[in-house]
Amino acid sequence: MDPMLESFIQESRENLEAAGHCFLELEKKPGDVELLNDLFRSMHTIKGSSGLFDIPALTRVVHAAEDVLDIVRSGGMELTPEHIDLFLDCMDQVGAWLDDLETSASLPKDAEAKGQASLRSHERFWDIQVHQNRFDL
Amino acid sequence: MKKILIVDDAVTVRMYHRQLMESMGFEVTEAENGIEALEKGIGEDFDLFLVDVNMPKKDGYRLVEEMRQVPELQAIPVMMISTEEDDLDKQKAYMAGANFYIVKPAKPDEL
Repeated sequence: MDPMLESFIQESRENLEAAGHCFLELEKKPGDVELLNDLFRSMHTIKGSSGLFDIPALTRVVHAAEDVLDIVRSGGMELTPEHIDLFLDCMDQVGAWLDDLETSASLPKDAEAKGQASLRSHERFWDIQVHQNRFDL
Repeated sequence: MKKILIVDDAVTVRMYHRQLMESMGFEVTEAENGIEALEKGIGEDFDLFLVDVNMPKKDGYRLVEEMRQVPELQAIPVMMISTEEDDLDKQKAYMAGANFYIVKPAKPDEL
C-alpha cells in the first residue's frame, strides 16, 4: 500500500478514537472548551489530510461535522444530543470508509450517495437550528 | 542545500510536504507544533518555515508572532498553510508576520 495512504488510515483512526474519548468526557463536562477544541482538531486533521487523496465524499462529510463543531466551540450553539448523534453517525461512516481504503485503496461505489445523505442530515439539522434561533429572538 | 522547517501536527501532511520539498531540493526538518518549532528553529540556519495554522500547544499564528520577536528567527520567510480559504484567515496570517499564505495541500506550482 502507498505509505502515505497507510499513514492517513492510521492517523485518522487515532483521531476518531480521540474524538470518541472527547464525547465521553463531554458527557461529564458539557461545554468544556478544551475538549471541544480537541474534538474540532481531530476532525480538522482528518479533513486536512483527506484532501491529499481522491476521496471527496469522506472530505465533505468530515468538513460538515467540523463546521458544526466550529460553531459549537465558538459559543454559537450548545452541543445537543442531536449533534452527538450526527457526529457518531459521521464517525461510524468515516471508520467504515477507512476500512474500505485499507482493503481496496478506494472508497466504495456508494460513497458519494452515502456522503450526500449524511450532508442532507446536516442540512436538515441546520434548518431546525436556524428556525429555533429565529423563534427564540 | 536550502533548509526548510515543516511545522504541522498531522503526520500524513508532513509526509506529503516532505516529499514535495525534498523533490525541490530542500533539506527538510519537521516539528509537530509551535513549541517544537521554536526549539528546533533557534540554533539551526533555516531558509524557510512552512507553518500549519491549526496546531495544539502553540498554533501557527502564535508561532509566527513569537518568531518575529526572536532575533535569530525574525528574518526567516514564513509560508503559512491552512485548509481555510477565507480572506480573514489570510489577513490573520499576514498580521501575525507571515510572508505567504497558501491553501492546504500545497501544490508544486504554488511553491
